[in-house]
Amino acid sequence: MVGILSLLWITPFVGSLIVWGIGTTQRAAKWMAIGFSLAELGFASWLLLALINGNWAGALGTPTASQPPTPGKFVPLYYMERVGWWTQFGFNYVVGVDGLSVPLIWLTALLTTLAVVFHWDEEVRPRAFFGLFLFLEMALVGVFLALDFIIFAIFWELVLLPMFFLIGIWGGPNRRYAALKFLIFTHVGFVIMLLSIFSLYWFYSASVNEAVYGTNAPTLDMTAFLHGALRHTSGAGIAYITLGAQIPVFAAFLFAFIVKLPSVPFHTWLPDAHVEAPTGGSVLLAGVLLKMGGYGIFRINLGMLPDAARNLWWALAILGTASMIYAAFVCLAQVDLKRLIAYSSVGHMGFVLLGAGSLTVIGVQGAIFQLFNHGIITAILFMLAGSVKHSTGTRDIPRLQGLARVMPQFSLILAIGFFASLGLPGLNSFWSEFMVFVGAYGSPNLDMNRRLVLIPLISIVVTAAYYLYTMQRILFGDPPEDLAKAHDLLPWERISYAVLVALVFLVGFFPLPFLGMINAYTSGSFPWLGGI
Amino acid sequence: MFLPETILVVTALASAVLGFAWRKRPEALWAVALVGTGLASFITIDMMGLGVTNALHLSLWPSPIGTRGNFTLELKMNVDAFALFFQLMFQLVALLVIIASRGFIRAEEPHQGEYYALMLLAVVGMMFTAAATDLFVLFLAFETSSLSTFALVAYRKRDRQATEASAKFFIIGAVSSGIVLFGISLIYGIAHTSSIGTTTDLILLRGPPGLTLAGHPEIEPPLIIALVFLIAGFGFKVAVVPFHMWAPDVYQGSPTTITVLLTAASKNVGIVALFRVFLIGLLNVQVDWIAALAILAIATQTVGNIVAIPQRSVKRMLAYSSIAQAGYILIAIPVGAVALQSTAPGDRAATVAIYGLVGGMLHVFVYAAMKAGAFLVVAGTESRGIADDMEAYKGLGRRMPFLAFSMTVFLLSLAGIPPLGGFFSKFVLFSSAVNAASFNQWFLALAISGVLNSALSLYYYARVIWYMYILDPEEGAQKETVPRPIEAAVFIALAIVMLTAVLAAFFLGFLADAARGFFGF
Repeated sequence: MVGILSLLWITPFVGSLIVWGIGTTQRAAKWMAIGFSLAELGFASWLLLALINGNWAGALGTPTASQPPTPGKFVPLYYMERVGWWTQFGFNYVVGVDGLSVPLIWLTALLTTLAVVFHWDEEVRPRAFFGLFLFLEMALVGVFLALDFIIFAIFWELVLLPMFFLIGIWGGPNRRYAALKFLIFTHVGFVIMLLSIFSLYWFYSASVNEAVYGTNAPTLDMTAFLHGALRHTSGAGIAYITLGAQIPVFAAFLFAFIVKLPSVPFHTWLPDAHVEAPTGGSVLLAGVLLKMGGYGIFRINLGMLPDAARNLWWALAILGTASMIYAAFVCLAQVDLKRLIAYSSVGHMGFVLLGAGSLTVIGVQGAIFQLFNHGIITAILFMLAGSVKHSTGTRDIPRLQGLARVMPQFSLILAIGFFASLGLPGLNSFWSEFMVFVGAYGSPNLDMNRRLVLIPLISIVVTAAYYLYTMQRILFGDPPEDLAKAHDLLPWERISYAVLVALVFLVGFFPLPFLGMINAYTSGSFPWLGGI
Repeated sequence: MFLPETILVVTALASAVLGFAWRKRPEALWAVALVGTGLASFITIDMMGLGVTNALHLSLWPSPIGTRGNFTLELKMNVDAFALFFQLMFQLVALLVIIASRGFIRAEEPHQGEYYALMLLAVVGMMFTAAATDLFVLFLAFETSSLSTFALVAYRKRDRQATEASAKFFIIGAVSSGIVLFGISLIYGIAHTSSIGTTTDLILLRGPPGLTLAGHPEIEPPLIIALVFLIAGFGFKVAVVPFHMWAPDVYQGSPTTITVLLTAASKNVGIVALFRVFLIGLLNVQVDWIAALAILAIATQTVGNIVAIPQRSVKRMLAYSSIAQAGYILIAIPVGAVALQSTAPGDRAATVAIYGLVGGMLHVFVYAAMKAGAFLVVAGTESRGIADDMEAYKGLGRRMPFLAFSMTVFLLSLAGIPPLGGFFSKFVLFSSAVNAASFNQWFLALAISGVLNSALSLYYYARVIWYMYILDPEEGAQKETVPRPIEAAVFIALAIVMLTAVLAAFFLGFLADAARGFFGF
């Protein structure tokens, strides 16, 4: 059955072909691109509303389309579509969404649309440019939709190609190095992930499939593992992959995901890729691509391998803490505004790992919320870096001064973006970071050593320091001669900023609808998480 | 059963004779070769089970073939589903080469009759190799294809590079044939039979009626020598490291259409011979060769990929990459062998062996399509005077949009990027190695080597894409038109590579049956 979920990836795919095929003028290409991305945003918004408020869900069909035949708790996968494919081998087409994937799908659709708007004046090979954006959107949405390992792997890898070309063709002076480094790093992560998919497939999937769906055949269906793990942990007493077997698989998946996330020590591709990428590329790279890593950790590492997660939580926590501290200090030393933002992303993704490692309900919810919030804020920040480069021709912090006088609108957005990113109460990322810390402090794993939570807290202070220090240098003082005729934000840039800033406040003041959706996911999928 | 081969032989002879009469009309020769090959391929597909003749109520040949193609006793040949699959692959490659030749071989070049005749005879030799169930028949068929290709490499006899390549190829080919023959004669001396058929009373060194190693320790030393000779001899044909040195020179020197034939078809003849000889004939003595082949597979992948990295010539880079690809295909042999020899319950062993062989066959097919496609793109660029140096590929995306796009797809598929064909065949192949790890944990190394090598190979493939799309063309370079026939051939290969995910869904049942029949389950 193919329905709206499949349309979510088919729409941008068709769009990319059409834009690439017949968008011969810049005007045609950008209008078609905006049309398709708005259509996609429409679908995604419908889905988001349906998950926030059940009244909207009627037209989407019955939730949890395929429930396992044996009784017991099940993963609240709200909507699923399933088509047989290489059935002899147990490869099928399965897509589905729940409270984890819908916010990310919506974020993808939103940021793609805004990135297209932001690049309204793109002159260099526009049809390839906008076509690649839609193709990237297709792959990203596909990753969040996929519930069969082979579909997941296909979309996961497809993300690389448009990004490679976006950095390679429209990138900065050092783009060759950055594009190849990005490609190789994330591809290595991917092939390691493939190995663990193979072993899940051959060694464990048949018995899991037997326990959940009653057929003793190898399968790549992720729902079998999700259901199996859930019933295993919720005391329904079914046999599942043993702990000893879960640990290597967990480690291999974690490797792929922390390369993507990225976390120290595999983060080095990120600053290079960001500095060279065009603004829209950076927005999607930081806004959504990194979220694939976080998504994978929740969907696979926590969702399918809970026993290993309970034993290896410390690895997540340590990696997260290291990323937060390291990135914060590195940010203090940056002179390139875009590089600074790139490193700050590494730090903010550390929150995700720490929240996941806390293994508490609030910590995990905070981490998932952080994925969403960081996507919005970092999009603003990278757009700012693009605007300032467009307007003044440089991103070097020492060469920028007194922009508050020359570019007042820009300065306002910059202040909001920076404050949101450092977690000012009332703005969106405050909630997620706060929840992560509460979760980490209340983590049952830490028990007697709650003082250790002070270590990641240091990063909050340093983060505030580098943002304020940067703001002081860029915004205040007298503008030098060469900046005097810098223009302020362009009209289409204002649209993008307005939407994102509105979201920062909206989510900051009314986080509950989003948290409710995430809560439905965590309470259904992780009944085994610790209190608080 | 042998109708496709007969048609091809007739076409070849006709083409050779008509070559004298129609010296001024090469397009007529081309049409004859094309029609003959097309007809033969159609019959092969129909025998595989397409069933067009059944639908028309004609019974010209058995469809699907089942066991009716088994002539092990009379002709030492068995045209089973496995053989048909490989025969189809060889014919498809020939078809691509013939189509493209129209655009690549200039009309005024001499000896076009012989060109097509030799090519078709080479294909007939390949097809017989796939069906052979006797070491000597296999050897003869093998030589038929080799001798034709030696001459084809030197088709442009005024071209110094081509004649050098031909001489090199001939010497290596002759030596390796000698080595194979010596290995075969040793085997014959030990076992008093040269049959590698699946009928129980003829199987060499397998099961109670034959000779088993355990009962006769005295045959071990000559057997090891024979194994070494067989592996080395076939290794030369497949260009397995360390017997690969000739391949880049020959591939680079040959006319590019012939390179396609060599890399996509001729190499796979060696593969199919290895499948037959080792997985059927010598299965019971695998203690001696299983580790050797596994190590060779890993070495071939690694060396091929590492040496491909610094290459500046696209043809040489593709040559090294095809060495690496052969290393991936080799994985199927130790996987099948270790499963069949295990003490695990029959079902499980059979599953692993079949899955591994299906992976191997799938990769052979996809490999043939993507490698043929990549070299055909090179042929297309050469026909417009673009050198095969990477620098010359700058901005190809604008000068020849279709060829550059196809090349990108072929290269990404070679690197195993989804959703292209190479991803799926590697997925099945490597995961079968993980599966075999339940019999012997060292097999995990095969899978790890495979995926890491794929990651490594992406670097040099991506570099070509970089040149084609990201760098701007040289000053004054303009959009070029590519000969239609070459574009058509590339298009066919492109369709196969891009649609594997869908097409294979229909073929999987056939492949699994072929593998089952091959092992005699």
